[in-house]
Amino acid sequence: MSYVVAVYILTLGSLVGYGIGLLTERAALLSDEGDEANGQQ
Amino acid sequence: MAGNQAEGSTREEFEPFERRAAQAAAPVGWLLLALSAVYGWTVWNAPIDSVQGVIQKILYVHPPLAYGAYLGFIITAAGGLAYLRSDREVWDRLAVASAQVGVLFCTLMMITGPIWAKGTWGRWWSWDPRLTVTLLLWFVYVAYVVLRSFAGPGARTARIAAVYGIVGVILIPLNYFVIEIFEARSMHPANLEGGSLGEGMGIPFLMGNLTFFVAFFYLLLVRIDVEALRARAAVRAAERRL
Repeated sequence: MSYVVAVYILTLGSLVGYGIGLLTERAALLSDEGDEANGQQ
Repeated sequence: MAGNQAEGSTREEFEPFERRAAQAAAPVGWLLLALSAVYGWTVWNAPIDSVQGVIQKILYVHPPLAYGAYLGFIITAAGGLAYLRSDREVWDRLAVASAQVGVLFCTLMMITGPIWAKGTWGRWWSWDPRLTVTLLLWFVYVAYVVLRSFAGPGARTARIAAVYGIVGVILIPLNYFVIEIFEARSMHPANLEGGSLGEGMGIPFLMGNLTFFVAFFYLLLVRIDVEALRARAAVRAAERRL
């Protein structure tokens, strides 16, 4: 049972973690763009 | 889930493909959430295997990760081919994005497989033909991602990477059919068309594949968006330096 739980936690946790990392990076890039656009106005 | 677009920022300058990918991310993300709930329910209620016991439920994670990895590397090759034919950077960015998500899936497959093997075969690793080819596949695409991250931008790098990605994809059919080729020496069960799935395991297995397939595409769509935003940021930085 512990092997199964470990596999599911590891897999789903990694995929969710990677997704959160991507969304965070995307938000940061969009925020930088917004800041630059506001600075130019 | 995917709607955190900063105010004042648009994707009008994006290539049409990248703009559509960015637009598709949110609905695919919601679909993924819904599928994940159904997937969890079907896995929880899946029958316990009479031979392996509960550890057999790793079946609903391990092969779907393998198919996701295959898909990632096939899209990398397709992106590389499209780049070689058109010289458009958008296809190179697609190849890189897909390789990164494919390597994530392949790495998780390489971790979950030995855990399953330890529980059923009694050892973490065996130089089984499929394990050996899978390890080679993993090395090839980890090298692709690592080299791309160090090589920097440029048409020459993109062309070499495209050829590398196209050649590397040859390992995928070899990896799938290696069990038939080395039938007597493989510890892996037969491929699905060989009827290796037990009764009542079809629906959770199908849901596992469908959910991981959608998860792959969701991550790929967001990764494509990030790659496009990075490229646009690099162009702006270059313009400021002029």
